[in-house]
Amino acid sequence: MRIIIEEMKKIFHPVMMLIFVLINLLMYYIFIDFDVTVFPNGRPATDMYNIGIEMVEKYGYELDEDELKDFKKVFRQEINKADKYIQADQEFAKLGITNYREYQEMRNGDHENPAIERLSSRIMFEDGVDLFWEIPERENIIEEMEFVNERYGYSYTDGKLTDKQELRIQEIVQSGTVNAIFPAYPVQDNFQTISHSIAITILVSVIFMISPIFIRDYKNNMFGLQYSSKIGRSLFMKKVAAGMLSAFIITTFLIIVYYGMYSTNDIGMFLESEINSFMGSVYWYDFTFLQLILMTVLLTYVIMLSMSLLAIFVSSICKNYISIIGILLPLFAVVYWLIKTRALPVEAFFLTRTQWEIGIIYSIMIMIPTAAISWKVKRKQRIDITD
Amino acid sequence: MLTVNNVSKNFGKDSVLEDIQLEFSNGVYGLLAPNGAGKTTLIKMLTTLLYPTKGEILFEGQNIFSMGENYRDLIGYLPQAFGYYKNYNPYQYLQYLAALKGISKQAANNKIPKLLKLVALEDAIKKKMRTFSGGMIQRVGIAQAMLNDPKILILDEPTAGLDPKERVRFRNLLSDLARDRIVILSTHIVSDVESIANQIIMIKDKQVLVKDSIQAICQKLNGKVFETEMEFGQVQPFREQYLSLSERQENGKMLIRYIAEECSSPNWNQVSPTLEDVFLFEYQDQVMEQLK
Repeated sequence: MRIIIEEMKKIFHPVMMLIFVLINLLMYYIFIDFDVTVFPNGRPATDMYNIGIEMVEKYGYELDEDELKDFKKVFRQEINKADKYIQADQEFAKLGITNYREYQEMRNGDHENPAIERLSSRIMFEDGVDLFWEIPERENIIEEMEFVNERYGYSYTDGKLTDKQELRIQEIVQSGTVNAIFPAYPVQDNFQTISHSIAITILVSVIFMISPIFIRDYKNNMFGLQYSSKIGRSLFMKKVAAGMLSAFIITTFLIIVYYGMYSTNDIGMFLESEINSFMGSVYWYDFTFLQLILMTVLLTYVIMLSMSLLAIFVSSICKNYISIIGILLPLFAVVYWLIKTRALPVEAFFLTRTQWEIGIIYSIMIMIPTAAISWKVKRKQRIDITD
Repeated sequence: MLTVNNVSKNFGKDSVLEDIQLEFSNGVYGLLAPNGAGKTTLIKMLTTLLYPTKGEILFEGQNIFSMGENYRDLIGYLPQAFGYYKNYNPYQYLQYLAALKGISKQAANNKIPKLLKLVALEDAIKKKMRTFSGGMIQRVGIAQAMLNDPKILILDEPTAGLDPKERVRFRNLLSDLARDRIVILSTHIVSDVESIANQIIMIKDKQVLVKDSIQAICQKLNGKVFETEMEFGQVQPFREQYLSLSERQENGKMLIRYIAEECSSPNWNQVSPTLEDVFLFEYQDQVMEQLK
């Protein structure tokens, strides 16, 4: 363990730590800060978020038939309030609008009417009247719930469903899971973006910290002393262990820091909500939002540890930093693309994503670095140390 | 006893050492040969960094590669141009190597100040090694080789970067250490081993040319080393006829030391051969090649 600690001291050298902090500050302000400080992002995201909170507080995590009736009642009350607002406003009277329905019909039917556009702009953006933002969202929620059998899942799949996908949708609908209250927009969308940014930031940090593990010794001409000491060629495995332990510590630290920041987004009330909700997406698995977050963290660990192992291997075969960058940069680009498009939940578990594909991606991600390191360990025992 | 038994080493198709047969018991052994003769290859095999292509190396009858860490625990090694971390101070550096050598932190804490005192670096224990001179770095290297109190001390070109005072100090240190251990000192600088080595090993044409005491080795040139004075104009034709070992100006003439089969002039003074004379004689082709 002492050798592992000594190797970790080199990885966590103060100069490296300083650059690590600078990288993270930069990455945070470029990629993460916005999704933490600006949530919910504008309207109607804020209105959906507020309606979601109201629903969870009032109805719990599921919306049953009686609760839907109550929700509709609230919706009608909101429309009444909007009617009264319209009747009290002179500009609506000038345009001959006497209630919300007339306003909505004129707005939907006459996009070219500048007077309607000006009025809408005033009440929506200048005055920021909540009613006019919330009513369409409430209406959407009611429609999605009422037409759940016809619509749920289809909008995400362009109507082309495989038998398995069809079965999965039916399973969610028939089991009643679909009644879950979970405002995918903006809660899931925000989590999706921020989980990508966090994973990419951790990936950059881990690769930066771990990559010099062998090249540092090679550049400093240390191999002769290291491999002729008592530990001998077993040092290679100790260094791999030190690299992996360091990668685990860095990943854990950054997950705690960044997901700690994410927790300030006040999404706690949705943690127990099922993610297969009539208000959102269809997943292959029956996860709660908390379980989705935990799966994301778990898969983030898998990606980071596999990439660390790969970075350790690359470090052990390269003779200079330029060649390390030359090899790791394309690999980083591939993993970046995977994180952005398919490797992490939310996308990984979407109904549109075939699960064997995800299985293959992770199998390759784990097996290639493991095989490469195993080969290197065996080879290290046999070869001459000439460097 | 450390035994090198018919060891050969090839790198690909290139043969570097062939049928090396050596035995080491306590004492100082000077491994003397020009650059590129295979000294470092032999030393790297003795430290288990290289595997012999043929033959075996035994310590107390056991193959050193089978002994693994039990053997490496017995050796102290100072490689040629050895490595260090520039941001480390000697204390951190020796602690790291102590960990690799399986020495406990507490034992290393006791040992490191003593070793640094031995190599006169006790005042630089907390200074970054990037600020050290070549001689200071070399002394840290000697200290690290001594960390585990090795039974076999293997030093590859250990005096590189040391000033004359440090060289004398280093030789004295080695003489003390060699009383109860094997010290193998590889060098191409004859004066490094001349005064301290019990035996000299010379490698030539991939094989052991000689392994003997300095006195016995010098016997080989007995009666063949001469000195004479001559005018400067006579030097060039003289060089073409005889192997010149050293030349220096004295009293407006050139004093030349050389090798000849027999005394051909009353002006020639026969002198006692030194190890350097033998070295230059044996490696005259390589030496001339290097001089070109």
